[in-house]
Amino acid sequence: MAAPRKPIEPPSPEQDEFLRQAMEQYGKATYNFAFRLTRNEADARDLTQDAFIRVYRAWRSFVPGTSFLSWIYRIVTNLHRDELRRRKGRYQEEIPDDNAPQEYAGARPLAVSPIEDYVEGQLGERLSRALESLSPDQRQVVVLADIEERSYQEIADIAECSIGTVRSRLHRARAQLRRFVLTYDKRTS
Amino acid sequence: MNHLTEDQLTDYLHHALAPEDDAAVYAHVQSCAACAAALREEIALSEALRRHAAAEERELPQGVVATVWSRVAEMSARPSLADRLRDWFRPAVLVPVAAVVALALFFVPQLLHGTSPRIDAAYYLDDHAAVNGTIPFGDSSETIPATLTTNSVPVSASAVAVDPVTLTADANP
Repeated sequence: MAAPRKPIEPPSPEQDEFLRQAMEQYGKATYNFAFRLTRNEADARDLTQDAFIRVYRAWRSFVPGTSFLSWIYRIVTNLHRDELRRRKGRYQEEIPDDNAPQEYAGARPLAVSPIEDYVEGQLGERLSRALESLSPDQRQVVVLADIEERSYQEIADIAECSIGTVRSRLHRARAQLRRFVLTYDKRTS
Repeated sequence: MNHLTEDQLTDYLHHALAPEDDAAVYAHVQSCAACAAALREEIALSEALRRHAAAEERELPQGVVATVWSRVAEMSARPSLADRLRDWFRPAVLVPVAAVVALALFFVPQLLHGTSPRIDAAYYLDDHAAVNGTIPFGDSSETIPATLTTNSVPVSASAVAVDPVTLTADANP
């Protein structure tokens, strides 16, 4: 039997209050997450606005007691993916096969300039460029795992993928970051 | 135990190993200088990423909140396309619309048929007489009034002549 049709709800004061509190408490975190994904202020602003509009529309689907930040990060991630699809025509999924051979695994570049040895100013620019060089999927996993310090399970929930995919993306992303940071001098000289 | 891979160290650093693997990596790092150095590099990379993120952290631009509220006000004033479609397909609207469509489908062809050009009955009588004249043993149409067969060929002239003897011979060899 079909579910009874829900009446079209007019905007309620609770809905407005929900949005107001969400923006007040999580606006900055959401914007920074969007900026770390897009690496672009204008895109981050648009993404944040769209995310809060989505929050307003879907406010009843938020489950009280769960992490609001995880919920809105998932919204931002989906909107970002949709935007990339719209721009590129297609969105290139990274590493669909979690067991794909990884050519970088094994050898460690211990002999060349360890990351610990860089002073802050030197490393900042390198990391900015290194982060920009990552694919959107890889960047998202690095942001969530290393900056937000989320567990693989939480990242899988936000990115709507398996833990194995999270693991693969993070391994590849960190390998690329390491390579990029350590070989930056050679490329720019 | 062989040296640890970067992937193992990454998972160890992110507390993503099974307890027994986590313990094995911990024990190995205590006794292997090369892997301990590699782990320090992994830790340094994570810390550098966090410091970098903190350094480039931004405040929420003022315009964002204002734009969101302005879009919310627009949404409240104008229902979304989905809402409008849902509104159109509710039974209170859909049933009368379906009834009107059904009535239109029933009555419109009748109205159209009513305005089609009429064909005079004489046309059918003439047509019948003309066809009948070509059929052997057909209706001789002697009863058809002369006024209705003015354009047709006389039946006696167009009828095919049949030899009764031949027919009799074929039937009884």
